[in-house]
Amino acid sequence: MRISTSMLNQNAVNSIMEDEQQLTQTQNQLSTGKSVNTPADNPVAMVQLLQLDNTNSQYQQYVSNGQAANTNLTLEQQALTTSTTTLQSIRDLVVQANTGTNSASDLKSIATQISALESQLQGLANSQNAQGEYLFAGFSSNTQPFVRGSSGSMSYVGDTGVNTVSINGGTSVQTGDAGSSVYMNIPAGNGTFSTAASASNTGTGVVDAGSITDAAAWSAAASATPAGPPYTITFTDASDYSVTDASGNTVTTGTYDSTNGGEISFDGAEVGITGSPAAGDSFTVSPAGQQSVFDTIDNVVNSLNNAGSSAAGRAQLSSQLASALSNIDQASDQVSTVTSNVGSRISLISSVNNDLTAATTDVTTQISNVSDLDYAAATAQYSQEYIALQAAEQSYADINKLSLFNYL
Amino acid sequence: MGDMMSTGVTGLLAFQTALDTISNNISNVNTPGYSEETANLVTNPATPTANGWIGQGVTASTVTRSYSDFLDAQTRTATSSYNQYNTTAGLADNINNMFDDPSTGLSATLQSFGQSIQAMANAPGQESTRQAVLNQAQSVIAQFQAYQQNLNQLGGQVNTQIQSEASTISSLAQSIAGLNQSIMAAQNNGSGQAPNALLDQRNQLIDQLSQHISVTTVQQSDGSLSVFIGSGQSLVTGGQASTLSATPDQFGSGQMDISVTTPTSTTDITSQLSGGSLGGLLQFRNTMLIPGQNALGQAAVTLTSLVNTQNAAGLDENGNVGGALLAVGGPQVLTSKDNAGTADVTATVSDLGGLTTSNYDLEYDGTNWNMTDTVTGQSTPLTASTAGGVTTLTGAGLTLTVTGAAQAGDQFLVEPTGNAVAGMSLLTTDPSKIAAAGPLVAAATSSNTGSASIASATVPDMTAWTRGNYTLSFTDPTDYTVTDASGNTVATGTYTAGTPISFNGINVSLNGTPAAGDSFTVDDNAGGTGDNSNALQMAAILNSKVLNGGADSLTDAVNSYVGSVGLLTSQAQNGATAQQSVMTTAQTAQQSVSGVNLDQEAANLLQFQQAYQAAAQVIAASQTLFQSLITAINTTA
Repeated sequence: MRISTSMLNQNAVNSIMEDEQQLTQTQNQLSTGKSVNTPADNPVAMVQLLQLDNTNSQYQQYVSNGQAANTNLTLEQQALTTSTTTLQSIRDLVVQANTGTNSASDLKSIATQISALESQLQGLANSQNAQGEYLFAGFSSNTQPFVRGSSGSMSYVGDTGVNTVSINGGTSVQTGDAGSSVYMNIPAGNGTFSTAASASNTGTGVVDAGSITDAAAWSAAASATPAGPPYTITFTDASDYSVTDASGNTVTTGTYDSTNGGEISFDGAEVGITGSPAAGDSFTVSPAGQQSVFDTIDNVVNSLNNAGSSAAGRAQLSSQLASALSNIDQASDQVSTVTSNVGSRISLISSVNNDLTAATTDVTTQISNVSDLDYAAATAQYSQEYIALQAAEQSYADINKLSLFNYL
Repeated sequence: MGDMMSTGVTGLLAFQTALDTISNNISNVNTPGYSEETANLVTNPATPTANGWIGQGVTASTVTRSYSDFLDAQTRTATSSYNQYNTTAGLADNINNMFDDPSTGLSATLQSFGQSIQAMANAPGQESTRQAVLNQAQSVIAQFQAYQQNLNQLGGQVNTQIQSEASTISSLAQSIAGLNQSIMAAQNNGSGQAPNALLDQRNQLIDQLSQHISVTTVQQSDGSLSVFIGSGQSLVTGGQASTLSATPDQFGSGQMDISVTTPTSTTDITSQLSGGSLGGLLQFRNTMLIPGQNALGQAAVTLTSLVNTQNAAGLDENGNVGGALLAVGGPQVLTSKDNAGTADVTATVSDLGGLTTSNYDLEYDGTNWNMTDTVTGQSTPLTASTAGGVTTLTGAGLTLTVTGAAQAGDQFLVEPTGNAVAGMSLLTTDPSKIAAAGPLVAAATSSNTGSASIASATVPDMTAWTRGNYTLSFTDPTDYTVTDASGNTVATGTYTAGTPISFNGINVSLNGTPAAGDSFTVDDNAGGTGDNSNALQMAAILNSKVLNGGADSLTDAVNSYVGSVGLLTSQAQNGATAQQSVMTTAQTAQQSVSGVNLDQEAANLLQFQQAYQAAAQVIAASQTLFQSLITAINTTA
């Protein structure tokens, strides 16, 4: 094929331009270290990169969510653990007050100590985080949740809201608990019923908290119409008693031995009496309601401060303290349950964190695979293109020297 | 002898012409568009004598130009294609470079915004996290507007270039028409010789024209060349040239359209033009510029709508129902200046999932309204309803309201999202206005004996909500009463598992079975500054699938836009590279016929130089012979 002189030059120049362009592009890749510099370099890879970046930042967000939740939960755990210790101290004091060898002033000093511990407990229930928000106030985190009303009893003015955060994909954790579910709404008595000695008792009979021996029988009696509970155990004399239900019907009768004490059973419940009840003394067995731990402690302090010094008065005190002990145990149980929930949330966050660390490493590796430059291949390519450009330039210079006119 | 001398002279003259031609070729070796010329030597008719036919020498009959129409046309087609791809690629690269760093682009900024909302959800009562959300929103808006500005600048650049292309094409057409006239005159002046230089010049001009726009040429019998563009519009006929002009379009949108003006009419031919750098500009505008502006707008509209809707579903830090946080520009409808009727059309976005990245032509044909895509011409279905002199049209995610009287042939340009980013702004600088809390806080009363718990308590429509604290009590497992804070009964009814209980704009759903005497509190969450439930939902909106009929989330849409930018740019770049080699091959083929090769000319120069010297020798020899004859006659006298 005939080549025109101008075409010869044009083609050679075009080749050199192309080689230069390729060389520049490779050089750009080498200096940025990335094989995909603009979307046009590899559109599919670019979209992939954007999606991987998105996933990566989501993982990081989950990690920081977990950290924020962890901070809150750790603070809560501390408050709860200290609460348990405080309740234990109060319990010990109650047991000490129940030993029977205390004078009135002893009882009053125990009451004072218990009051001080109660203030401590209130402080724990009103714990705040570093920003001054209350941990146990539900959603109303700027308002102190536990306050003493004008009537003197502690009330909860927060709400029941709990926040959750997402720590991974579909996994969420609660970041706190409402104060009402920790320190209020605690089942009284043994959880099903509570016992009390009548204030007008003259004997020295003491009633314990009792227990359920047949849950089905109790709930059958409780749902019958008219309902069985509340029951009254009345001592007609020092060794005979009768149990009447809410309508006054006699449920059972029996004898009582004051030297050994005894258990009285009826409708699936069993109640123990010790001491010597007098004729006409009565004890009530009522379905358990709910009580806040503060009310329980207030009642204890009240009982200790107003304890009668007579034998009957002390027996009264014993019954009250027995009842209080079972209430305090219920409170400790509830706080423990919440504490262990918090503990398991914290360990969930920790294990999810490990998963996220592994997942993040995966994603980072993928990003690197897609976008990082293979330096070995790129350097080899660079050498090749360099040589090609060199050859193109040199051959052009050489060929241009050839002309028939040189020989004319 | 006489014959010898005259034959020699014919040789001299012929070789002189040949040498002139060779010298012309060598001088024009680097002239673009020059076709190699060859002197055609033809032997003179012989004279019959008694001794045989005696040849009468040689004549240079004509100077022929070496060219091939087919190869010329092939080169022009390749040139037009190459220039179209190259122009598109060059402009596309501008947009391509806007997205060169995935860690700082629009996608990354949106991610940061989402993360700031998450951080607020972790600590909704803190001022600092709320302020961070507003700051990030500002960054997102700034990023959108930076991109939009870039695209607007490119749009301005495209308009300017279209104008200059139109005037270049017009002036080339004028020159071609002028040459047509000269060639016609030259061919009819009686010499019968082709005006090679003029023909070359005209060819060169048409080659230049093909760089700007695709052309087809038809050779006429009178020597002129007719040039056609687009789908058959005449640019040059004989000595007449039409003018190509760039004028603002009929809608006043700022876009330039091309029309061709002949002595008899002016026609808009924007949609029929292709090829060359003008075709590249139009293609860039239709495939990357307008869809790009619209894609950004679509993302802006989506973000604003999602954020505002979610904010209005919760309570802000002051206990008030959340308001709109962001503002965005609405759809724009432009009226054609050629409209005969008095109709006016406004539009609002009614369906986020139906929004597209196209602009539309809305036309009234006398009875019905039709909406077509401005680039593809595809028709979009519209549902129409008329009430009280106002027509409402729904389609493409928009609701269009037509007031006034339209006449058949009236046209409107509908730009659903092109104006969105320009109108984007943050409506508040007060961090407490962000609604992080949900409207209600509901719980089962702790002394409940049944197994029921609150599954959800929602306010589906904040405008229908009567705020207050309510108690939901069950007299038995299927009958309930709702009382307000003063004890007044607000609602009663029977409860079936699975159906929500509704009252005063609130919907409550329960899990499990309630027992007689159970109650639930459903309170106003006005004091709930620590509640993050609405913030959690807001954080999820970036990934909720609301676009394209529920297939894509906002993040997906932005990512796929970046992908499409890359794809279109690399397509244009690859096309340019491919067409360049096609163009080079065509040019080489054409040059192999029409180009000058210096070595060939050098050889020819030698050849004719020698021939000339030989012819000169022949004349010298004939003179010597004549001298001998005269001397011989003189001696005998």
